[in-house]
Amino acid sequence: MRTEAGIAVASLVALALAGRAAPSPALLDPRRLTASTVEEGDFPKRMVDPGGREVVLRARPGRVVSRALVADELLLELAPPERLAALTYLVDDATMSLAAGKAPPSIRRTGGGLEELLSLEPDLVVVAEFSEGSTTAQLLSAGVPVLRLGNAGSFEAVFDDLRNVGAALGASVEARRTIEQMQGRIEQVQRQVAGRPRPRALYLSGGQYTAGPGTLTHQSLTLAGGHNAAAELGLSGAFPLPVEQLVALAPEVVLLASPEPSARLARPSDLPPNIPWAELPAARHHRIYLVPAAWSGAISHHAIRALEAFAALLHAPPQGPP
Amino acid sequence: MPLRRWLSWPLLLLLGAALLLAALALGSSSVSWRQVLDLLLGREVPSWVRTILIEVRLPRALLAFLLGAGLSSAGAALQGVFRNPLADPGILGVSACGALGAVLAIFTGLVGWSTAALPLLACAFAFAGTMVVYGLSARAGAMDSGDVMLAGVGVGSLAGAATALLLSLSLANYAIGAQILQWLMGGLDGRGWPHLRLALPVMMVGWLLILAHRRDLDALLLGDAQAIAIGVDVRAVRGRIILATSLITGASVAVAGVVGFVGLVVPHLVRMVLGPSHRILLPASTLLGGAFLLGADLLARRVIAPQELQLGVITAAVGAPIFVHLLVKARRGSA
Repeated sequence: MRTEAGIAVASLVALALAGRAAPSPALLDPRRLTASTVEEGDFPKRMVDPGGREVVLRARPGRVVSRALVADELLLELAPPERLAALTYLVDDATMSLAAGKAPPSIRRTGGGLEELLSLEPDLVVVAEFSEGSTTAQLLSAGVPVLRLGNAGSFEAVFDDLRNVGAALGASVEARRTIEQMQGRIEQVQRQVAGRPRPRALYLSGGQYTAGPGTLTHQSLTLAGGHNAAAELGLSGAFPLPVEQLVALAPEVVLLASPEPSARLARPSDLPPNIPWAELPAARHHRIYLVPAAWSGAISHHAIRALEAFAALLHAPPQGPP
Repeated sequence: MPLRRWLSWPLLLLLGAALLLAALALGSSSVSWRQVLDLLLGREVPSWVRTILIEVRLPRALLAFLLGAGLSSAGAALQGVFRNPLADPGILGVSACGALGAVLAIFTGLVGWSTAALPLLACAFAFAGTMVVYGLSARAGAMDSGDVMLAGVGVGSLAGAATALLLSLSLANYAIGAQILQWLMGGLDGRGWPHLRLALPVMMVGWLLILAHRRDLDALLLGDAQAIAIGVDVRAVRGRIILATSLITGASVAVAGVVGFVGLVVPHLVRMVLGPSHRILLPASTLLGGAFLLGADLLARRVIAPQELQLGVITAAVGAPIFVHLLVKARRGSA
């Protein structure tokens, strides 16, 4: 009995030691990572990193590395290419990236592996909210300054990302200019759709996923003068939509994410085969459209392209069969 | 046998050291062998090379060795307790139970409250799973291979279903869903010193407990009646070994997810060369297991570099044929 008690005590002590050993809970729980904030003004300036610690950016970063497509797009907008050490390989994929063709080949493309990132000797790494938490935590452990973007679920959140990246790069003026341009285009869309009827619209990506409240897509559909039918389901974020619910929602307009470079009316051959399209008002009135995934998936300043496309398609005059 | 035995120790140590050196020198970034040697000899190297070697590759290699050593010892001990060469934390569903505990700790956010929650729940669930498998397969008295396997499959499936439920509930939060998926696939990508410090104390207690019972495990090989006759408290020894293997499996799952077949393959190979005595089997399995997982992780990093294969894919590719071989052998033996 005494032996059993000794073993139990030793086990509990070992577990307690294990608990004290891991200094960064972020390594084990990505919910502990937060969006970074950077103060405005001249260098040196303070940045709160994803671990919640305050770090000092002594000078304009000159070897900036991106770990996400959204970061690629923001960095190319705000920083001269010579200050970018690496972008993701996704930046050249025109089916996903609105920065395709804009990044000089002299900038290295990376898959985002930890060793590769460290070997680039970055003075700033920009990661997205969805970037792998363990790599972010290890970069922080290695003393690399990391700027983590926020959850871009609205245009206001995109503005925050622009402000923070701009401040970190010493490009606050450029960031403000981009935000003002976006605000101007949003106001223009709102003027265009004011007073028009709001069609019941549904966005589908990958033939199955739709977007509820808390997403840029939802906000764009609303600002574009539509009613996001998926919001009636009471779910938030992106979620898979069962076929039954899709039919029950009876959307008047369906917007399908597509790898094509421009928006157009969908042909029957474009439609995912598992859905009884003929039951939908959108199909009966020939109002199913393809929207480039690079537009509708953008969570950078390029998200404005999706907003403008949605506004044009939701209020497009009726057409005949494609 | 003695000559082979004496030759085995330096060979095993040499293999481990060579693989450790290779794990330091080979990776997705271009660190040269020369730079590795410079660092080992205390010479100046660029700071990014030092960071990669000390902060990324070294803890990962040591963790691979630790997990391989632990899982192999746990496999050897379970095979002794169940008197079954097919017993392994993965096959018995113990790893799946541990993974359920770890996933529960992540899903509920308990890890944010205390990092000890992760190994604690993983070990507790692994212990509960082993006890259920043991209870189910020992009901009929003698432990038949088929009963052990069926109990393991049943417990593992149940734990897998519960984990899948938690995963589906967590998909609303991408970060949590991705974290859980990564755990389930098993691997050492992104693991560092904190993970090593997390696993080490728990695995050491489990390993020492097993090693302390190496003579009792030998006695158990003779059958319960014989073991009792020579003074072994069979019930207590089984309980302690199950606790020890749960600690090792739980700690392993807590830091690297489910890595299967290590506890099956390594003791089998050692037994073939050095015989069944646990006094030799356990330390030799520790060394070979460490080297095996270190080599497997090296392959996982290099086969499709710069991308990585999941570690579990490599161990399964080696382990599954050996498992089938042992299964066929066991059937022939019972026919």
